[in-house]
Amino acid sequence: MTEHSAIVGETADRVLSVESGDSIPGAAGAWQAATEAGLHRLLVREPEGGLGDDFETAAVVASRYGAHAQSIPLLDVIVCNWAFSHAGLPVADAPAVFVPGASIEARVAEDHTLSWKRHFHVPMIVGAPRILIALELPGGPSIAVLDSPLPNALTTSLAGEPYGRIGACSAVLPLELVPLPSGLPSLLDLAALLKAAAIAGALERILELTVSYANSRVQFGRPIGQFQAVQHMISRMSGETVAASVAIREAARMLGGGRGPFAVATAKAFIGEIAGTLPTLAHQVHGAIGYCEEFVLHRLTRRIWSWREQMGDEVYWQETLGSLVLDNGGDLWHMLTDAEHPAAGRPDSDYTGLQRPLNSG
Amino acid sequence: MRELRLSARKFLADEIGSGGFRPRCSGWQVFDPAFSLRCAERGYVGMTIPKELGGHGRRFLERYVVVEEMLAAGAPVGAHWIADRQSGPQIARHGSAELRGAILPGITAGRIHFAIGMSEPNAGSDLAGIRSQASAAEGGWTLNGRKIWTTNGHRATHMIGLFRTQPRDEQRRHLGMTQFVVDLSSPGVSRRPIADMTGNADFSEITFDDVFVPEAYVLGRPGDGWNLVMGELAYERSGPERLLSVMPLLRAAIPGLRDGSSDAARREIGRLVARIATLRQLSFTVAAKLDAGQTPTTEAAMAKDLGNRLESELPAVLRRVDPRRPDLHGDEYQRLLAEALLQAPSITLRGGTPEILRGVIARGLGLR
Repeated sequence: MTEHSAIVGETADRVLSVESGDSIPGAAGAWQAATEAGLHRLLVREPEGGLGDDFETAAVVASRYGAHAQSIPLLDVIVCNWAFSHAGLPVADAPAVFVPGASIEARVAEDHTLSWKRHFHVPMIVGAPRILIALELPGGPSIAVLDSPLPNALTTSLAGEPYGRIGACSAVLPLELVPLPSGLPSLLDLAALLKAAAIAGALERILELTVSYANSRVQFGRPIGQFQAVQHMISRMSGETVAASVAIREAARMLGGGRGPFAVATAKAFIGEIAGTLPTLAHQVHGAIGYCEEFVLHRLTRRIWSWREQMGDEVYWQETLGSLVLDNGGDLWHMLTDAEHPAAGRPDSDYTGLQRPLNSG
Repeated sequence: MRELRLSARKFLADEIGSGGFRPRCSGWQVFDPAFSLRCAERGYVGMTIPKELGGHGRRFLERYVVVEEMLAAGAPVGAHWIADRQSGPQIARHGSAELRGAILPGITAGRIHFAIGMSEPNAGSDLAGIRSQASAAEGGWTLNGRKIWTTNGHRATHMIGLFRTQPRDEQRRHLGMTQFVVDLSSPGVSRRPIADMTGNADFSEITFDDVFVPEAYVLGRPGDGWNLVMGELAYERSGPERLLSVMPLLRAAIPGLRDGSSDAARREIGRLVARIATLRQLSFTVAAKLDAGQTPTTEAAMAKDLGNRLESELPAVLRRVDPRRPDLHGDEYQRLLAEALLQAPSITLRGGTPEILRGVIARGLGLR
């Protein structure tokens, strides 16, 4: 943990404890608190008042965001502002979301118009966001920014948050394409790291709730946490929860270096996998109360199950990692241990190996 | 650290190249005294024992890096394994000056090999149920009883054994035990190898019949054995061997999966690699805490539980995604797969079963 991450983490914990619920008025309050505290500008370059590429602190903030089951698009705007700042664009105080161009088959024509073939979803809980589409152009990674297009349908996430559906579009758009400086980590890696960190934070909170419930709920004359079958479920949860936090710390530390893509793929693949099993165990320990609207557990469960689909689900990252290992030609063990091993870098053809669409909403 | 890792890697590559050993899964159970001598010549044994006591005085994390390389290469480190991992450090911490002088230089030289004397016929997971006894004798102690499931006990030169030095008190079963260093060539020691389902005989049964142990060979204070054993187990449970036993198999599998492998194979390899990379970090975190002088009992149990689960699962996953079948006399991948499948049932029962570990974790979480 860096010096910043402890201080900023405390601030984030306080600010994000504002209950946003699933409601739009609740979210507006949380959004205001987060932006007033400047959390949305966390990763802008230091001359602009941010921490620059301090991904470890960003991961701590994302983890607190997850622990409080927040619904505001804070992580999205942190990613967008990081890109805006590096691209020399003004940073945003309004909501903005990042969409990987490859996931919607986005193309730039010779006349500099943009089109995409797949629909995607954007969070609408604090209003329609600006959309940053990341593109791999022959000249290098670039971003295109769309001003809050009107969604053609409304939907909700698994967590009940309002999302807008943006359909496929081949219209001519007035468009500014801005190149990103070379050598930056990919936007997808940063966004995936923060989503995974949010899940890890929510899993930590779920573990706390579950231990506390098991120690207080009495059946057959004793707390259910004294039953071996219950202890074993919770022990299993705890091991993987701790492992998730370790994976996040490692990925946040490595992002920006040659090992970043490997470490991020590892974290999102592992955490995406346990995002299914751990909440299920927690619900089993809680019994019927955990399934109730009034009890907090489902807020965490549903957000985890929503976030695991975003910025690449576990299958996407498992395949990415499998391809890194199998297509690289080197020895797996050397890859695992060589911090700056070139094999750990993402191949040039960034998202071309995409087997499954990334769901952005 | 990097240099240390690369020099160990080169030593191992040269060993394989010259036929020094054939890679095996769970190489930490494979007893090869000649290989241990060659490791000792390079300074890879007794690394964490202080220099003034005859060791190399290196950091715990430096040993960790070397050990990782050994396991990933499938090297037969079993002869020096127990002495290097726990017996040597335990003697350095709790042994008398005479005992340290008699044993530690021999461990570092790769000549003295240790076994762990904990389990008994009626005391496995419930270690406090041991019945083997030590009674005071002139100038020392006399041991009587039986130890079983002792890995390489019939091949080792010495053992750290846990014996009762006071009668059992059913209310306070953890009291009245003491750890002794026993020379296994002493009169009254008889040893019997126990054949296992893989066709090897790595377990053994050791009987003590009026075996004399000098006073200087007691560890710590008489009666304090339980606390000493718990400290020893933290070293036993936290190491990379709880995760990397199957690494030689996975490494051997990759080249054959490169061409034309299915999406399912990519996915499963990716899933396994994500788990291994994550658990390796977890294990390293535990090692760093030990290095800093802490006793991360709960985290060590977590690391072993998760690591063992992965080790047990990995050969089964490879069977699903790779059409090559296990064959003890096939190519290297087929042989390693066959060995790993046969070893799998033993992985989760050494050094604390998952059921025991989850009880330890539950206590650490504040349940009970």
